Amino acid sequence: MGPATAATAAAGPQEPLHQFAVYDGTSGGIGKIAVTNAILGLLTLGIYRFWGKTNMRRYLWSRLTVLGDRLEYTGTPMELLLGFIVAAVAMAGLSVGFIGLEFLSARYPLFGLLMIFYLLGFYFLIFFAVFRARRYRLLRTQWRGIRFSQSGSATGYAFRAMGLMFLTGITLGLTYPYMQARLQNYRTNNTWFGNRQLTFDGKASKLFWKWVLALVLVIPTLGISFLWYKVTEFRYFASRTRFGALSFHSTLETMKIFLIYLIFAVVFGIIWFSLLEVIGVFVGDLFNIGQPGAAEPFANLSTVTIAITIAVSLVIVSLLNALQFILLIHPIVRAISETLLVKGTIDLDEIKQSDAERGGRGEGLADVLDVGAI
Amino acid sequence: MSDYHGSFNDGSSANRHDVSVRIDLSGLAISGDGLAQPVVWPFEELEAIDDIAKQVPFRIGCRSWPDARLTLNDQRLLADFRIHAPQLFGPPVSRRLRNVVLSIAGAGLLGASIWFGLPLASRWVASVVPIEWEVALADQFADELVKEFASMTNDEPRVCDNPDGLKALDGLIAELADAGGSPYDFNVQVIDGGLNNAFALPGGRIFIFRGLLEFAQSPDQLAAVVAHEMGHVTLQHGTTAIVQGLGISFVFSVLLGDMGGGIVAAAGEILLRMSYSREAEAEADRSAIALLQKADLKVVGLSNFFERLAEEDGDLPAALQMLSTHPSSEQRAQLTKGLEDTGRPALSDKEWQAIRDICKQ
Repeated sequence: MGPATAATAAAGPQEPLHQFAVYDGTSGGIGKIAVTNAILGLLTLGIYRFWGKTNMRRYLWSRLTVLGDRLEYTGTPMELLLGFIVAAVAMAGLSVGFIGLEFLSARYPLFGLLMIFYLLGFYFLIFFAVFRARRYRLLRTQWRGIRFSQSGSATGYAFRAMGLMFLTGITLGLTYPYMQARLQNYRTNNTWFGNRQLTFDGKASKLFWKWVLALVLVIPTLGISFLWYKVTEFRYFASRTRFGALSFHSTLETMKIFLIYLIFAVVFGIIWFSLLEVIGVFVGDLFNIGQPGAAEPFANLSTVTIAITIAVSLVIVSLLNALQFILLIHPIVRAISETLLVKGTIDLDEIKQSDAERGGRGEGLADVLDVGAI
Repeated sequence: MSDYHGSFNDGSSANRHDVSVRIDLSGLAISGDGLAQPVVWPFEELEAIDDIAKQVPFRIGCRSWPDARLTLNDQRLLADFRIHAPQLFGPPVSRRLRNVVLSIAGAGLLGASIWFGLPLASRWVASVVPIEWEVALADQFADELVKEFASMTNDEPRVCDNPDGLKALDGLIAELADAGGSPYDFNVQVIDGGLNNAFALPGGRIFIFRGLLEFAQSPDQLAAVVAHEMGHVTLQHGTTAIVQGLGISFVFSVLLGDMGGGIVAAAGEILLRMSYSREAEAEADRSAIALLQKADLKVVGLSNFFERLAEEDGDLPAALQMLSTHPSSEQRAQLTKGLEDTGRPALSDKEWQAIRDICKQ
């Protein structure tokens, strides 16, 4: 056993908690990638985003040092692009079916029933896509040369999620902690590092009254109680997660996350309103509909107006995207890693590369369905 | 040649070995207590895992050892790497620039093929949709649309049904429908509202507002408007626009994925619809003239109607003209200039008066 193993092995069960991860990304480093991605994304009608995403992930992963070693992202833009093409073709087929059904149900009301199943199917696909995308990201994440992976099935996850969402709906949201705990359970217990599994045994009952409190206070606190609940939930979930003999403890504070969101909202608000001021004249034009002689609304809308509106919305959307990385994701990753503590040891000699396939065609479906996250 | 210190992960275990690394003739020679035997990583197979010029420590991989990683922290190695393994420092700027230019050109090509291909594809899809489907679809939103238009002048949407007026109107419709030979069954209704407007829905329903009957000065002008709306129906402009709208929102939201395709899709749809709409209006005008000529009616009504409209609302400044959904009224007024106009009046004075009174109860 080399000295490096001893470094982490030194922490015995009675040892105090120590920091799990160190994040040394800078807002300058993140900003450079985010702005490049925004500009090239616009210029290439979005095609650049596969390269952009990969660069961003490589940066974020490599700036995260876990127990002394950096993480590594091994995904490639081509995988994302291929996954996208496959998913886009599949979605095109589904959409054509949907349009056909729309016409059909106009003619035969019975097809309206089929439409409901169709819509349920779309929800199903979203959960399915989220789980698949998670699998891809885990498979492309390495630490000390060992891959993460995910067992379980996307179908199983999607069915559970649909059922739990239905339950949350009919209980008017009261069973939300139950849904979250069950899904976290499925996700974490299906997460592997090499041949070792992560485990999670959180119970919704520990969170129930906090959730009720958050619900009661959501209006008087202008929604901040919800943020408080999510941070509490995060801390609880961390404390119920284990990797072998390693156990976690988070001291993340609501105030810290709240300030991050507040700064983001203020900066974004300033940019948004000053842009709106500039285009105010044109926006007024947008609502100038229903002129005599026009067979439809928007008749007197000029292409100049539209072009400016599109350009401005594009700039706003890409700016929001870039800002999100600089002012939300970057400080949140830092806040979480600064406050995530760990206790216990892992025997690194015992952890071997898993036989899990490297496969996975990227995360096309999640991208097409707009649930891609980072 | 000196040895460098590093650590090695072999890709099969999470354990890490202290190693010493030497620059060899053909590559990096790695040896250490944890390794059964020394390993040589050829220079040309080396890959940078981190930004090796900036990050310390930095990691290096080797293509024939998929998951193995060598972590180094001695920047003196960089000089050797620049000579033997320049690929570790990323592709040269010129190649990156070329890639950017190529992908922008590719995106332009993609955009152009959508811009020109989508209208054609939508037209084809609309042409294979059975007429009954179009009728059923239009029935779904006809009432809502009439209500919306009527509310612009604060009117309740009431269908006018004075028997004499209906009889005269049906006569005109039948005459135009017979001449046109369209596969559609036309169903024309007058709505008791002050709006000077008329519109057609997919499948053959046409709505005329009382305001238009008051604005039109002759039966020829009314006939021209009806023929224009019939053109929209027969040429399937509405159905094509719906299919195109669905297509564009799909294309944009899929293409842009999670880059916020929603807003762009909405804007793109309006833009494309406007350009399509202008073309469709001009096409409906031309088909109206052809239809009036076939029915042996006067065509000058079309020009007269729009000439009056141009006087009435002054229209948009010429610069903005090409940018709106309709051709300018002045342009449209020119349409029938120079045409031989030998047709007869569309209605007798008595019939014309009956139609104008169609909303009287």
